[in-house]
Amino acid sequence: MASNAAWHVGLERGLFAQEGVEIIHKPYAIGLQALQAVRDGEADLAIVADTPFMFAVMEGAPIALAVTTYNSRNNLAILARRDHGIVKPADLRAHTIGFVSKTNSHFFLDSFLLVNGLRPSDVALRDLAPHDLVPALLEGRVDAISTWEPLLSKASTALGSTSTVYHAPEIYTFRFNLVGTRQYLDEHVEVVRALIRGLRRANNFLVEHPDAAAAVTEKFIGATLATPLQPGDYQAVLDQAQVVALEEQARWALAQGLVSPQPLPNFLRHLAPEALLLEAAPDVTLVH
Amino acid sequence: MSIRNQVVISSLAALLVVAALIVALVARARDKSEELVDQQFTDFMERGVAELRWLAVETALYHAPRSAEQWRIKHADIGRAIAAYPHRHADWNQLVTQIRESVVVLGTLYERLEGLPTGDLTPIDRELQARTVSSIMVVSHQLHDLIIRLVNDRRKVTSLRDAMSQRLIAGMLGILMVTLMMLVGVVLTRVLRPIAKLRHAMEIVARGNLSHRLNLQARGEVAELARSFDQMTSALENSSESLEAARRQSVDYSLSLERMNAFQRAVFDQAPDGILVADEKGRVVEANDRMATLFGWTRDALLERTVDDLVPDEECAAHLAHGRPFRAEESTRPMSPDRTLEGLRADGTRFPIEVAISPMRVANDVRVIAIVKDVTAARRAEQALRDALKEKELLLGEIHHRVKNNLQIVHSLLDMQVGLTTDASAAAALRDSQNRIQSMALIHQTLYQSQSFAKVDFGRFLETLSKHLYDSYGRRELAVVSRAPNVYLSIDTAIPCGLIVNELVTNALKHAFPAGRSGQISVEMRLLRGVDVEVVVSDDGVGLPADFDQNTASSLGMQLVQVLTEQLRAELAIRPRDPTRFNFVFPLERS
Repeated sequence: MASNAAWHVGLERGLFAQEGVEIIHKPYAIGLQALQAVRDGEADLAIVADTPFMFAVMEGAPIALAVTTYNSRNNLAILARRDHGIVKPADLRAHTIGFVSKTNSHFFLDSFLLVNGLRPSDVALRDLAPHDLVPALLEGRVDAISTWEPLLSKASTALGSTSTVYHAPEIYTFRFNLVGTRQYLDEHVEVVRALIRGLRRANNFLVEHPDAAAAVTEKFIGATLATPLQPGDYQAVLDQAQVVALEEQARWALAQGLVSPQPLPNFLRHLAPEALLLEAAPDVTLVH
Repeated sequence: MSIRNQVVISSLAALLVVAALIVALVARARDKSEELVDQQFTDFMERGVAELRWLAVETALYHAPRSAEQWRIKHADIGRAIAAYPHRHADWNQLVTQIRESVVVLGTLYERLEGLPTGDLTPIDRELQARTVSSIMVVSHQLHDLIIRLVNDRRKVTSLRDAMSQRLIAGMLGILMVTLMMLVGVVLTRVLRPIAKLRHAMEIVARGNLSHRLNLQARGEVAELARSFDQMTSALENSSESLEAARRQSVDYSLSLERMNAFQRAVFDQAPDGILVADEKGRVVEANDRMATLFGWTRDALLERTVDDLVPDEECAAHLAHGRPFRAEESTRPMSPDRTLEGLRADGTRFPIEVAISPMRVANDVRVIAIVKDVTAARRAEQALRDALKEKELLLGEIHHRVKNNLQIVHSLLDMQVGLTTDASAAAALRDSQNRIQSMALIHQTLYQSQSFAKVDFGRFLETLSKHLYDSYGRRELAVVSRAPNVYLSIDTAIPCGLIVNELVTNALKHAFPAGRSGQISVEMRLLRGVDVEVVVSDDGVGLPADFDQNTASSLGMQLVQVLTEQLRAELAIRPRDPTRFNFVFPLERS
């Protein structure tokens, strides 16, 4: 995914190794799967969006978020088929919309419907496997999908003028985060610091050589990028907005009954700013 | 490298560094100014975002129109501030873009919040309100973080620029210091120290030690100056030595000049002749002792006289009449060489003098030197000699007269003898002898009748001799002519030459014109090239006998001719007839 471009550049250019840490790179289709690998002990760290992390926390997983590495408002959108009579958001009513449950596509879709005066019951929601999102839309099994890049561009290109895209930057900011078990993060602060140093160097490379970085990313994802990389989206921060967003999503999950009833969790307990504080304290805007 | 070049390069380098320093300081000031603008922007944004956040909460809780109005004012202010914010750094463009997008999102969210109905909300509106407020919180936090990042990035860039600027300024100051130190070093080592040495050397030389040398083994203008100084002192030393030699020589010259002056004065004063020097007006400006003595003046008195005081008045008039004023002498010459000059003594007496005058120029003044010789004694000796000569001439004339008279007596005796002689041949012989004696007498007569006893006017002699012979032989049908213009012979030459002519003419009168034959006998003498005398005796008579041989001729006359020509060292040439001609040439030197 383009959201992992900085990681790809760091791996390709050996930046992490130069900072003293060897990475065994294990690609997954979506962050939820990578996070599951961490929870299963198959991986030490995962790059995952905030929504799966929120669900994992609310499910009681002993995990923590060390640093946010990507931040974008336009990475998620609703892609609908015009030929199915959807020409404006309100037309989604009574249509089938595909999504991936417990991912940010789920939260984004719910927020989108809410903003546009629709209840989940006003549409037919269909939980799909990540790899089935685009085929379902193309085959007409659903009328719209809530998805992310690069699937969004792939499906939009395939449908051509028969599709329409609804971005809603105001309702959700897509974040990718470095997540690990609390124990691992506490015990490997230096490893995380090395990763942060490598990541910051990769971010600088993205700023200075966006084309070269795009080429590296395309090599990793095995596809051509639909839109140019936005170097400003790649960062290594831990901000107050993150915890507010996690709480918002947690309230949503509780309200929707997507998790077992429980008090709103204190996400400060699931943030691990130590490494970033040691490496770049000004980039920790989280009240701590 | 020359000092000038080093100083120029160092100065230029210093100027460049100073210029760069000024540029760096200006850039730093500009950075500070931009930093201030950035600080104001971020301060405004931080405060503005916080205000928007609380106004949004107020709106959600109370829906007060005041909150909405303030929210819009602040949101618009923030929008304008972002639009006006200068994008100075490429890295900030992304951040500013994200800030701008966040502000727009914030506006969208607020409009949604404001659009919710007041009063009791439906569950979906309540959820939307909560979600919107939550989103406003998220976005405002994001916006705040973006602003913080902008602040941090700006500080990072600013501090980086500050550090660079400080390093740059420090480096420039360092370069400036090094350049100035080099400049000072150049001035110290290559200017001031050599100048100090030069000054020390000048003091030594000024004290008179011209042999002192700097021998500065360096380069540059001051070293060149030092070498020039050495050359100058060397030249001064040489000049000093030359001056000393010249001074010594001058002393020698001075001594020599004094000796020469003394010598010249002695020569001047002790000269046997009087010497005076007069100016162009004839005033005596210098005179020697001899001059004073000659004219009876003291030397000092003489120096108060003019030349005209030293000669009689008529001499002055004559000299003026001669048209040559005393001052107009152009070359050395004797004065009035054709007459005896007289000097006028102090006592008025006169005495003969000879004067030689010569012009002399002293600077622009004309002087005339006159050398005056008292010729009183010379004049007396000359007169005595003249008197002795007169006496001798009288005596010689008397002697020649007496010789002529004696010869004349002999001639008369022979004439008496002829009258008593009956033998014709004897009479002829006596008459020949008479003619010969007459010829000799004529020589003496010619001498004493002439002005000089040294030379015989031979033309006159020939004329008289020819007439005598013509009269003696009574041959009226014949003519005897003679020509000897300007031929003067000594008596030693005149006598044999006269005898030869006598014999030849007599011989012609007697034999060349037999039986009353008429004709002419000619005697000619002439000078050849002024060194020889040619004598030609010719006649247009019958000529010599066919068997005539001058070497065997037995007549006394021809024998005399032979003997006398040999005496004259002459050769006799004879043409026997048509016309008969005898000629001989003898050197005049003998005469």
